[in-house]
Order: sequence, then structure tokens, then C-alpha cells
Amino acid sequence: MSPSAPVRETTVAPLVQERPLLVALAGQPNVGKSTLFNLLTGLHQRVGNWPGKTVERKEGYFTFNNVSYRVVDLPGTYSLTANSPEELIAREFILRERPDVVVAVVDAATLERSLYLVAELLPLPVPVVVALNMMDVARQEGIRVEPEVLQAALGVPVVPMSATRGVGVQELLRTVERIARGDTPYAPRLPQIRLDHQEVLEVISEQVAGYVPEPYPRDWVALKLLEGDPEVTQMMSAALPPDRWEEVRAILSAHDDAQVAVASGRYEWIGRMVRAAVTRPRIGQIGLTERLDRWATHPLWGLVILGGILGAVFWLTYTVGAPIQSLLETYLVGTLAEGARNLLSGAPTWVSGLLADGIIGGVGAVLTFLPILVIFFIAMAFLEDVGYMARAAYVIDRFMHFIGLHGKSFLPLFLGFGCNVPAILGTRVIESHRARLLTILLAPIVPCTARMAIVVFLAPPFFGPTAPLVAWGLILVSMGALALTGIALNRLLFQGRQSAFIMELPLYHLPNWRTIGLSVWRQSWAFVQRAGTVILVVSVLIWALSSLPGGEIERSYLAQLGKSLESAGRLMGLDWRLTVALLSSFIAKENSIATLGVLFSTGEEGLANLLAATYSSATALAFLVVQILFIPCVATVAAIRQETHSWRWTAFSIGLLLAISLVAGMVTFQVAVLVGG
Amino acid sequence: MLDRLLEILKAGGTHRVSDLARALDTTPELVEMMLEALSRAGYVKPVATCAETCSACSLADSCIPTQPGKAWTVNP
Repeated sequence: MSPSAPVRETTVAPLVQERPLLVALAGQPNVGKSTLFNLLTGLHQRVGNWPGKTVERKEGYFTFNNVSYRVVDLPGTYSLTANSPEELIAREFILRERPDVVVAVVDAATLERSLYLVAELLPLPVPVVVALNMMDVARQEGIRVEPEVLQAALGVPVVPMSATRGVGVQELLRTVERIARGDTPYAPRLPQIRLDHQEVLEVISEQVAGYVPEPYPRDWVALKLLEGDPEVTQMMSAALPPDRWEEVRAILSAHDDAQVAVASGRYEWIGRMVRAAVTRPRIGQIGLTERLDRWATHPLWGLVILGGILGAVFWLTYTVGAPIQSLLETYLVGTLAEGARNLLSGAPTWVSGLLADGIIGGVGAVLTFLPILVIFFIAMAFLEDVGYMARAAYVIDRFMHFIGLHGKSFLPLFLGFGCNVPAILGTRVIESHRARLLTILLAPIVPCTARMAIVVFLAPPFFGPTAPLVAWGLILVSMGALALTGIALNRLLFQGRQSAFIMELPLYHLPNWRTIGLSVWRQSWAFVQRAGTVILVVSVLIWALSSLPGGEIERSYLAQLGKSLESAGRLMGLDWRLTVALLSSFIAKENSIATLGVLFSTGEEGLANLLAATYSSATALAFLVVQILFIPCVATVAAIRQETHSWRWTAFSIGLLLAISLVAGMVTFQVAVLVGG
Repeated sequence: MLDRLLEILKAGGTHRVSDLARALDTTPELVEMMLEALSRAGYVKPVATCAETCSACSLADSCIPTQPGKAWTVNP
């Protein structure tokens, strides 16, 4: 062995022992086991397959300090329970071939994960040396592992190393040799199982005594039986006399929680080892995340912060977006409509009406609030990218548990803030039929982007500087309606059963503007496409219905329809035009704006100003409340039908939302009038 | 430790991995391993996050992207 190259030897040195020391390399995948194997054996490798398996078997030879070694690279495994062919191969090799030493290669940077295998190796009748690999990586990640402390805690030799740099390999081999020769005391501290199960383990061990086939150790077989290992169970059911096997089986089925108890002992043991030997200073990203989360995920402050952030998003959207929207409306839509009218002055009236009022008035009105949406999308994508949305999800989920909602309902409901359709499709993650149904019924109450956009558009002309507060309040109304409906339906359908939900929150990090840009672009483009298709068709249809039969809006088919519903609308302060706008939102929510754009034939005054001049604040507030809670759009209804496979539940959902929105609208209007109109 | 984790989860509620780690006096990494073990044993089930589910969804573009990290629910 040359001292410069740590262990690789190209010429085989004369043997000083009867047979080479047999060393097995065990470890989970990606801990540097193969690197160590290659470093040890160099070109002296044989690669084949394990007998009867398609798993690769690597074996090699080398000499170090005049001792020759045969080294077998066991398949990478996380444990030695017969879950996979790899795990079975690894443990069968150790038990049958009885290597002189097993080198357990562990990753110092993820010690917990590596130690589970060690917990299973130590009870086997073969000495184990722990190669604490990737010490350099651990150091880089700020993780401090103390090999001496780990060695004392484990009771087996631990050698720190970095296989990729060749550091520590010679020391590893010297340790292996000492252990193989019995020069070093070897007293591993084994994982223990809970006391009550320990007694059962002893009883099983006594029951199988004398029947365990070679080369399996009795205690190990008893432990594996208790753990429900399929291979060992099959082996012992054949090896034991039938009546004895029946007794063992009866004991095992009386302790069906033993699998958890055995694994629990191992985790407890890993926890002790890690507590003793590893320190992770909470610095940098992790420290920052913990400090921020103390507030952002607090039961009370978390909700307050979420409310504040949502408020800030609305404020930003209004402050920056609303003036741009208003400019676009006045100069772009107004000018375009005027231009179209002038250009088509010679054409039939219906042509200029269709273009100026129908298409430009409808689609144009919707498109003007693209800037508002873009700002909203940027804000949401930013919060998502820095890692805050996961916290918002966590805080809302805890709130939903508090009101008695099913934990699994949360993800689909959260999707509903984007669009209700994926929210309803997303309920497929819920297995329980009733929980799923409840979530489907609740999903349309979550205000989707389109509904929030309508609020964003209509609030400023009516409420001026208090518009962000109104928008924020409308979201609260939605969430309140969601909570109340949830509680009511949950009581009726579930009797308030609870379930747990566990989340791992990502670390906060600086935003990636490219990701944010892509997300904003995708969402904005989808919106523009919708404006060019569904909203265009509906605008034309609304225009046609509002122009036919005679060209006068007040006597049009649309007016007739609206007026037939006016008595209901009046309770909420809505005239026929607002009622029709509400109805048209059934096709797509943005149509409300498009319809009002068509009905008010926007000129230079701008739709928003016209609306403000026409309606009182009480009417506007009631309209917004109804709009945000109104029956879902046709795509959502189709999704509800598809997912519930029932017209009855689909009708129930529509009826439920209709009732909620109308009642909320009436209460809002009447209270607003009472308070001061 | 695994049995104590199960007890906590059976009581219901929403938990963060770091809170569970604190309650069990261990590291989040170990809690994550235990959740994986419980998932293999059928006690808990990993929830497909939006990053996975949305790739197959035709409405992905109109949806606010959400990636709430890893998540599990407890099987009834």
C-alpha cells in the first residue's frame, strides 16, 4: 500500500493469513458506499448478479498493511426488513456468509436516515464498524457531528471520513483489522423495545427455541416474527410443529401493534444517538425561517398577519392598478368605441352597435382590468415563491380544524382561491365520500380570482379611499360564510369528526423573478384568452338581447328578463341591469363587468364612473356581496356534476349558494340603508 | 417514539413537522422518517401536492400555484 494513494493497491501483496478478511459494505443509497468500494478495490472488481436476482453484485480484493481483504458491496438499503429484494439480499448475505466485519457507511449530513440500518445491523451476530462518511458535506451544511461521542453512544467503532477525498480510509481499514482480530472491545448498545413487548419477545424466543434453522440467530428470528417480517414468518411457520406455530401465531395476533413498538424502539435509539452526537446550529435560512414562523404560524398572530398581507395586496392592487385601469378605460375603450362609431357611421346602426357597445364595451371593459389582475397575480406569485403561501395554508388549515372541518378538505379549498374548478376536481384526494361531498359543496364559496377581480374593479368608484377595506371585508364575508356553512353541514353530515393533517413547510427564500414572471404570464394569458372567447361570445349575446327587438334597451328581451326578476332584485336594491349582470356571471364571472359595459355603453366617462353616478353605496355593497357569494359559474357547476355524479347534489349546491347569496345581499342592503345608505 | 407520534396524530389537528419534533424531543428529519414509516405501514398517507397534481390539470394556468411542501393525512 502506498501512503500517498490512501488504499488503492494495484499489485496484490503476499497473503499473511489463511483467507482474506471478508468485509461487507452496507448502507443506504447515495451515502458514498460505491465510492468507498471503488477506492478500496480499484481495478480488482468482479461485477455480476446476486444468485437468482437482477440486483447487481460487486465484489473486489485488495491488500492493506499486508492483510488481504475480500470486500462485498451489499445493495443499498434503508433497513433489513424484507421489504425489497435488496434488503433480503443484504441480510441473507450477512447471516449466511458471516463476514468478519460489516462496514456500515453512514452519511454524517443525514445521520438519522442512515442510522436506521445500523439499528438493524447491530443485533446481527457480526461486528459492525461505522464509516461516518461525508463529514465535509455535513460541515459545509453547518452540521457538527462528534465521532467520539457517537462511538461512545453506539458502543461500536466510528471512523470519520470523506470517501470522495480519500480522507479517513486508512483509519477505517486499521479499525476493521483490529475489530476482526478481536483487538478492540466490541459492545454495541442495541435498540430496546418497550417493556411490555420485551416480555412478549422473550416468550416467542422460548417458543421457537430448538426449531430455528441454521444460520439464523434465535433472538433475531423472534424479533422479526414480532415485527411481522414476511420471510421469517413463512420460514418459521414451516419450521415449527403445527401446534407450536399456532401458539406463536396467537401471541403475535394478540400483539398486532408490535410492529410499531419494534420500529419505535429503533427510532428512540436513533433519537438518542443524534441528540448525543449531532449539533445543528440554527443559523442562516433555517434560523430565519424559525424566527419568522414564530409569528407567521402563530394561532392568533398568524391569522392577523395573513389578514394584513391580504389587505396590503388589495391596497397595492388598488393604488397601482386602479388608476391604470381608469386610464385604459377612458382613453383606450372610450377612444376605440368612439373611433368605431365614427368609422362605421355609414354602416347600419346594428353593426356599429355590435362593435362599439357589444364587443368593445363588453370585452374591452373586462380587458381594462388586466393591469389590476397582473398586479394581483404578481403579489400572489411573490408570496408563493418566497414561501409564505405554505404558511397561509397552514394557518387557514388550523382555522378550518377549529371550526370542525376535515383536514383533507383544505388543499382543494385553497385551490379555490385561484379557480373553483380545480378545487372541485382536487377533492379527489379525499377518500371519505361524505367529506368529499362537503368539500365540493363548500368549494364554490371560496372567492376565486375572477370574483375578486370584480370586487377590485367595482369597489373604488363607490367607496373611494375605503375600497381596500371593503374588498378585504368582502373576503371576510366569504370566509365567514364558508365557516358557517362548513359548521352547519359538518354537524349535519359528519357529527364533527376530526382527522389530523401534517405539513412540512418550506424554508423562506429570496424570490426568483423568473418563476414569478412565468407564473404571472401564464395566468394573464389564460385570462386574455378567456376574454377573447367566452366573454366575447357572451358580450355579443348580451348586446343582441339588449338591442332586440326594437333597438331600445329598456324594451329589449334582456330588459324584459331582468324586469321579471326585478321584484326579487329590489329587496337587495338591484335594478334589472344589475340583476342581468349577475345572471350573466353564470357563464363566467367576468361577464358581470362585460354585461354592465354593454348595458351602459361606455363612453369617455368610463363605466366605473357611470355606475357610481347611477347606484347608491348600499346597492353597490349589496351587489358585491351577492356577486362574491353567487351561484358558481357554469364550468364549476359542470365540475360539481362530474364529481358528484348526481344532478340532485348539483342542484342542491346551486340552491344553497343562491340562498346564501340572496339572504346575504338582502341583509347587507337593508342594514346599509338603515345605517345611512 | 413512533407510538407516541401515532397517539398525537390520532388526536387530530394540524401539525407542523417541526412542532411534532419538539413534542417528541427529536429532530424534524427523524419525524419525517417516522412519517414515511407510518405511511408504509398504512397509518398515514402522503397528500399529493399541487406541484404533482397540477401537471396533469388542464386548468393549471388559471390556478394560483401552491406548493405547501410535503403533507400527510392520517388514515381513518
